[in-house]
Amino acid sequence: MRFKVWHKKGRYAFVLPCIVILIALVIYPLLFLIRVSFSVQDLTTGEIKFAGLVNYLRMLGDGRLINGVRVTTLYTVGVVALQCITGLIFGLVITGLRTKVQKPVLLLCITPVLISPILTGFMWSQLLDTTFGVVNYMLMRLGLIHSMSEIRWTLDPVLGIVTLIVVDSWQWTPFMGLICMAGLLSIPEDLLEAAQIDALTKWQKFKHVTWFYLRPVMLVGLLFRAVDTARGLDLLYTLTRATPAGSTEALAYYIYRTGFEYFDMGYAAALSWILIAVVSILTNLLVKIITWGEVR
Amino acid sequence: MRSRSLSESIKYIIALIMVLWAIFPIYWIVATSLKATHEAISIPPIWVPNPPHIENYLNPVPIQEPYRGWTGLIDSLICATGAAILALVIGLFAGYGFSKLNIRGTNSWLNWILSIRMLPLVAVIIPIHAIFRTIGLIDKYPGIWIAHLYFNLPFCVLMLKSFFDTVPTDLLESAKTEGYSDIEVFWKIALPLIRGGVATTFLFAFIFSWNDFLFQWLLTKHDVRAVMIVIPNIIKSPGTEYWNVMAAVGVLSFIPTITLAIILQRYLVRGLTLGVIRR
Amino acid sequence: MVKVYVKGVNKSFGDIQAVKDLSFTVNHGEFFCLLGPSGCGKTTTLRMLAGLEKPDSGEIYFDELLVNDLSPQERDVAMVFQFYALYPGTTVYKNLALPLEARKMSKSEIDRAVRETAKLLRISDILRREVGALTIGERQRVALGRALVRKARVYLLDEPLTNLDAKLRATMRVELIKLQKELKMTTIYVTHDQIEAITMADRIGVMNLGVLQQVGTHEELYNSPSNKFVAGFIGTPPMNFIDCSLNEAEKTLEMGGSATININSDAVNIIKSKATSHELILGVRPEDIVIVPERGFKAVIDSSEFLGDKQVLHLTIDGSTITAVAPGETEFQSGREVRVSFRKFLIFDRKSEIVLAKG
Repeated sequence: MRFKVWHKKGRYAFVLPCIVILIALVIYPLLFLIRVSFSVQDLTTGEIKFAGLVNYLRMLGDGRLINGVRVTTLYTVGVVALQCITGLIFGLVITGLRTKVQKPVLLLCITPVLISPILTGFMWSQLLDTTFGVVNYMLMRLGLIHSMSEIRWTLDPVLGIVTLIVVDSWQWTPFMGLICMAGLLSIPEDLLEAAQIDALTKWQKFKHVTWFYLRPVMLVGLLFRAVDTARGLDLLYTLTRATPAGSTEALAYYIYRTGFEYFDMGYAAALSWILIAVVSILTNLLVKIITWGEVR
Repeated sequence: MRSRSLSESIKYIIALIMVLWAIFPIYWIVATSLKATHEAISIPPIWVPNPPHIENYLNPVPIQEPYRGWTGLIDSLICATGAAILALVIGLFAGYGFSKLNIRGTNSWLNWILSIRMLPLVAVIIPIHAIFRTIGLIDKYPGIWIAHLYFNLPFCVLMLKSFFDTVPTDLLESAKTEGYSDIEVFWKIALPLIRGGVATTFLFAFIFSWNDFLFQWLLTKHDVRAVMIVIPNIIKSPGTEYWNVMAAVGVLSFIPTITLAIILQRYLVRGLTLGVIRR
Repeated sequence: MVKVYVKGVNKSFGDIQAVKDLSFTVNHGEFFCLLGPSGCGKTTTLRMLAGLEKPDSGEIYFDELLVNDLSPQERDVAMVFQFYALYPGTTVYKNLALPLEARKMSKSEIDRAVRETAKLLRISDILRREVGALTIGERQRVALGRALVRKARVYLLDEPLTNLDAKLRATMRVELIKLQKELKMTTIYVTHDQIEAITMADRIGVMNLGVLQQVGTHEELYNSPSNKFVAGFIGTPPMNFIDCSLNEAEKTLEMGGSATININSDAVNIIKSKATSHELILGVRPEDIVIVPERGFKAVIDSSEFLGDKQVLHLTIDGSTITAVAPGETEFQSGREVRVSFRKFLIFDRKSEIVLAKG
């Protein structure tokens, strides 16, 4: 019969375009990336020639690379830690609101996630500016600092990473928050009632009822956040571009600068593999944590 | 009883703080966009600009190209809509296939597709930049549409698959026994059932494309200048203290996103978290 | 253990009134069953007793304490849910221990209480097992155990046996009765299954559409139902209802055609005074229908279902179909005409459906 035959072979036609495109988008460029990483471009002649492991050997002594990895790691870990808490608070607070209030509050609180990271970086670099920024001005008025340039949010090497984490959290907490909400709303009613009737303390209820439904979704959410933070560039570009090279420079930004400001594509390609490795390790680690928890 | 109302009030206080925290920077940039140039950097800061300088929105920034005023918005619109539709269409077929057509190794494919979403775009753009240069896709709309597939296609496939998963299979089976071909079952029966899901997916693919920076920055030169590029360009240009005009551009850049989100707010929550809750 | 008083309780959800002017009492240590079909308001009542819903009006007392405004935590009730609602991802032991830990009992006290309860319910050997790995029967016992481990004021059970297969249900019924007699807990049990009610409860409250129809022991409900609903709900196979009318002059009830039943003068008088009209309903239980060859009125056998020691016969009397129960050995062929008479019956007002008299 006509449709049976179609069903057998033709069905692959549904997924074929997608798969072919993705393979083309991934395999070929990555192979290309490998090839580029083995080459060096002569800046005067523009000639690209094969140079073996030169770029990779260069990585070994590159302090800026190590700093980049350090910054990226701190940034990512900080984001995961902070947003796990803020997301949870977001979820708990909003699910606890009266329905009439809940919807408008939710919509307002979600707006940061819709803003482009480029714009977010711009907005916050304005607010945190040491000459005219509102934040330092308010701190001065409150008597907590004495001059506008006392706290250099984005320029200070230590504070810079904290600022990154906080601004990133401004942007992405709603994402974790919504996930936590979904987890909280998935708790069966009768389980919550049983906890009421047994007069469980707030902590007991959280540990034995709430957390069971929160943990799986939170872990997946944190996985996405970790990966997106490690590989992200947009926020870094507008928030940390003024920092002197090597202080609050994340690996992704270092790669970008190497490739598109210093035009050293070969080295940028080699560095990219480090970033890809970092992201893969993160992914695998978190996936293992998730599935370990589930089996248990 | 008393402790109950205490924790209730704490919730509302925290909710208020959360709203203020979320809205303040946005309010500030809107306010800045309506200030005169010197007002934007004044101390003490001006909370409500009076009079509102709407001309910031109307006059282009006095720097050289490539900023082109309103046209930035149109270019962004073309890029985002095209990219979203492209990813959506491919994703619709693939999502349906993975969901309903018993493709061998579906789970492996899906895991692989998910891992593509994890690729650092910085890494990917190096070869893409070179490849596009060779085949002449730099500075063209289709170049952006294709490049955006990196994040839009996995997203669309996974989202739409999970939406198709909610369609009862027996419904489709009975349609097949009535003689509908696979395509007809897909197009006429399954697809209309997930209309909401398609809207959500489109909304988010659009937002992701609209907000993209990297690809639009590096893969275009003169002809295609999306809004997201304008701000970094202004920052880069020398002698710019025109924070107020930049703010205006910034506000223009997020008005379409916010408007779209308000229109499709029902779908917002589902879209932001799906693909994650799938498990 | 307390005595529970429910007085004039009403509860509505939007336009639907779930519970209407409900009043009943549960005695100290009594096993009281709320019986009725889905949507009759029994679960809502149970939830109001638990504190999970608040009555719109009326009062609920535990002994002298008015509990209307008390939260579930403050009421000291224990509840077994229809789907058990066990605390996930932890052991059976922990599930039993948690309510006690919440009350800040000492570790040794908790251990003792948990083990005692586990022994009672025969789940001592699965104490260390994860809740997710239990069979449905085991889960049910753990849910029971979690309720019993505290010495609560009142025990509330919401259709706990509904999800078990027939065999397990029968076993658990016996166990529940034993437990209740041993521990003498004031228990309120909600079900739609009359067998559970009849076998386990000291007294039963039958509800329908939010209204309490009748409260009594199962003998009282069986022999002296107050209205058609209770009469039809209690007893398997259910009571037969035949439309009839009163012939005052001849002191009979006419069921159409030649079928008539004689009734005495007292009954006639009661009917005349209490009934809304002469339109009545005759109610007769299948087990009270006797098939006698000589007297009685004519009936035709439609079909029979053999059940071993007895059989269920479907008969037609002048157009109405009724069910009768007969001993298993007798042979009855379809289409055969027989003569039946009624040993006992009830007379209902057709309009108000209240029982008027017995025959």
